[in-house]
Amino acid sequence: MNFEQIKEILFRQAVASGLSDYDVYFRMASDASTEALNKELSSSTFGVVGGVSFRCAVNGRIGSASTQCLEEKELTALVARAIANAAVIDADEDPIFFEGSGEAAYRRVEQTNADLPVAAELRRAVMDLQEQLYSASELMTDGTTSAAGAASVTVSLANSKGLSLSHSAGMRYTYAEAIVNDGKEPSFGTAFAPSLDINTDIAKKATEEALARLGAGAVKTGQYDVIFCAKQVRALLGAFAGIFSGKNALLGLSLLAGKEGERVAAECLTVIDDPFYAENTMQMPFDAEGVATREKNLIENGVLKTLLYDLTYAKKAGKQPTGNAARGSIADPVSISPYCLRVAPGEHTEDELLQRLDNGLYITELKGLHAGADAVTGDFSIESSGFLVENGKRTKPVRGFTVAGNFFDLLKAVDGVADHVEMGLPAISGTAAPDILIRGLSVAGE
Amino acid sequence: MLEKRLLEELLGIAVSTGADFAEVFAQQERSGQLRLISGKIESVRDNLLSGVGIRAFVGTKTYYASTSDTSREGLLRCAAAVAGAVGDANGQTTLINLTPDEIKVEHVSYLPGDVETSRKAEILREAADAASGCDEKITQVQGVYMDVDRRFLVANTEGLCREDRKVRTRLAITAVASKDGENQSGFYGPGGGMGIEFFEKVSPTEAGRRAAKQALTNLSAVYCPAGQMTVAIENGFGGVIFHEACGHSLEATSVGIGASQMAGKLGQQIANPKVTAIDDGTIPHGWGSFSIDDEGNPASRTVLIENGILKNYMIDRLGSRRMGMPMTGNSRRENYTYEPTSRMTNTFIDNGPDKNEDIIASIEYGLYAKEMGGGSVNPLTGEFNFAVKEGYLVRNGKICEPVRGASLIGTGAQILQDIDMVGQNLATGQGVCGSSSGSVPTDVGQPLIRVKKITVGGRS
Repeated sequence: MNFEQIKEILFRQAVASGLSDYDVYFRMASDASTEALNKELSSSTFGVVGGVSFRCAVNGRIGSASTQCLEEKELTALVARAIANAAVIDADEDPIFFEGSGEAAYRRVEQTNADLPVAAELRRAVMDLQEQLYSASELMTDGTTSAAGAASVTVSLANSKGLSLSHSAGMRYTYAEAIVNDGKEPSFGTAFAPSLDINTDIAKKATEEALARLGAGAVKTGQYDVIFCAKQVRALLGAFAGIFSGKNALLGLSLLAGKEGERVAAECLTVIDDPFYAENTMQMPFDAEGVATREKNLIENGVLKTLLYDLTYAKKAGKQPTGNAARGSIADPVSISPYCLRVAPGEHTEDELLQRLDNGLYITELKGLHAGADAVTGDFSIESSGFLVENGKRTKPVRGFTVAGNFFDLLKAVDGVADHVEMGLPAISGTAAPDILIRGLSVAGE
Repeated sequence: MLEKRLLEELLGIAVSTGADFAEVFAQQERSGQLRLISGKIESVRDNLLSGVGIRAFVGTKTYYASTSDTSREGLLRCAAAVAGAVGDANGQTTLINLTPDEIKVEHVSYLPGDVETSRKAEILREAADAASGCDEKITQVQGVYMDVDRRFLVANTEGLCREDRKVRTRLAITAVASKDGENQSGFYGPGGGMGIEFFEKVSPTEAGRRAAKQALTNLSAVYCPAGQMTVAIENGFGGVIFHEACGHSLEATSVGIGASQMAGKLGQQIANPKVTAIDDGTIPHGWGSFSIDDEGNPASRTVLIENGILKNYMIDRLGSRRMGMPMTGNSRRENYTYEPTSRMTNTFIDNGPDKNEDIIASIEYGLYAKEMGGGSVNPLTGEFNFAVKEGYLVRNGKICEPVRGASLIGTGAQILQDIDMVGQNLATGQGVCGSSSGSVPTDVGQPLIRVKKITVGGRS
């Protein structure tokens, strides 16, 4: 069943049930991936998952229900389930269904990678990567993995106000994981590229990373200045993204509450929420409530410019919606989420940033951020590994230590931003960042 | 869920191009979730997850396709996708004969669908009100009531055909305490393999108070000092140390490809002789329990480490092929869109020889970690981490002031040797474990233990 047929059944049932405000949110995703291990193909997977959610207003309360079973009987029952679910909600404001931002407001986005590649193309990519990995070092050993894949998603939204929007986006990737063993210990390195191109340097990068980590030593407990590599700045941004939610601010769950217009970070830091970042193939012109999306500075030269809002919390906070209503899946209620959260490039080359650090740590890995970072308090204490920096040069590998601090203090302690921005895997909600220098973090080691 | 004849047809297609084994996994899962914030129920999640995954093996190569389109055409397309990936049709047909049987060990009094949503809302409100009412410094309470009714069927070319139904219920309360522009949080999330009758055993009021008290304790706490020290880790969710430090490294997922610190160590003394560790998917109404695993094998109790000696791994079908060892009933997946792999169920360190009071009394200066958060591990190197949610300094054998913001890190091989005291108050805690086959409910557990030296990630 396609979106138009699903919409027709649900709209008909909604009218028959006496509803006047409702929407239908539909998502169809497909993916393909292939993996190789120890020089042989190890697995191939394909998936197609579709689902729909129905939301409606009943006596000023919002009810919703969702299903992956797209048969007429199930769809008809969906409306009754949504109506019943509205009864337990404690409403404090009328639900809002949106008329639309006006056709001109929705950016026309080129829909790249909407079709999945053929399986042979994926197989070729992973086997080629295996060969590149095993020929990159004699120390390469069992567990060395390569993967290639693609995914595409179509999101459609229609409501009782006449809004009807649809958009497709897709991504491709290759991934290399090198495992080396020098007879004393194993070590690993990973790299990815946002394409199926076999002529990237990801096998080389993963191998170099694995080799560079061999023989890592310990770090003495103390205060250190550190550079987080771009990948780990992205990880930190992802872990603390919730602080930018206007809903969290209003509910006392973000310490950025009430600070719009104030300095919250060092002047060299600018953080942008960008649904149309050029490096990201998963772009979205409208949000989960149908509001047109747009690029905006969250932190501009250290000053907090805006938080992120959906329709409900924009109204509660007396602000304009920012087009950041999101649904993690068709089953999830509307929440607030950034698109591509990115740090603007700074003025230093990566080498200049190392010289500016002079002595300290270059952190290449942060682990367990889901547990060791608390967006409500800002506190973090994270298992880390990386390199010592001595006199502006990366020297010995180090591991087995934690880096601890508070994210709100960290924003103010930024003392340099590199000029090269790295994008993570393409995603509707992704991250991009350069290397960043932070002064004065607590390190626990030996 | 699916007709026997259709299952046989799908399996026949999946092995028609050279595969030596195929399996169909069909799932229908209703899940509900009520979310409360600022004293109000703000949303209801009510979802039907429905779909099928078909897998074929050629030796240790796997081919997997999944679809939410469970019409006959959709399923035939899914089976054909698997067959097409394996190879070209060779004109041979394989007749499959399924012999359905039943393995049932659980009894649920109330199915989530048979209980009024308003009754679930009452439980959630009771817990949240108890948390808010604890102290005026509690400024925010978030609560979630969730339940899942998971029905699935497994059929394979060896003739196996089994269905199972598993109900789980969980309450999760997060309280925030605030003072002078600073926030601190507390969490408690009890769950079980039961319906709403779970709350005859667990008091929502107590659950709410426990989260609030933790937030208040953290508000009065100072930052935990950094460095290596002796640490006593309390029972229940404290068992996350074994889950991360060792459990993941005993899964065939990493052992089977040689990417585990524990590969090739069967029969060796890998832990202190006081340590016995068990994975047990058969515990009645356990959070991580089931009748059959996601490959149709009965759940089992597997002794992983006995008196410090490595006895067994947790092994799924692919792992069994890779390692040449029998399956242990540990194959799990979040849902049909994931290929299954070996996962933990209810995994715990068993009671040991030491008295709990002796453990605290033995520490001259160290940390008492009362409540733990989640963590992660790299099975290759055994390097792991996890967060301390509620901790206290210990001086001269006495528990002293609360400390916050700490994490514990180490390597599995070393920590297992350094667990030098094991107490006698075994209890479990409920978690959600993420790995290549998605997020699955797992129980962790242990009695109070002492780790003689571990790196405490605090403030220096």
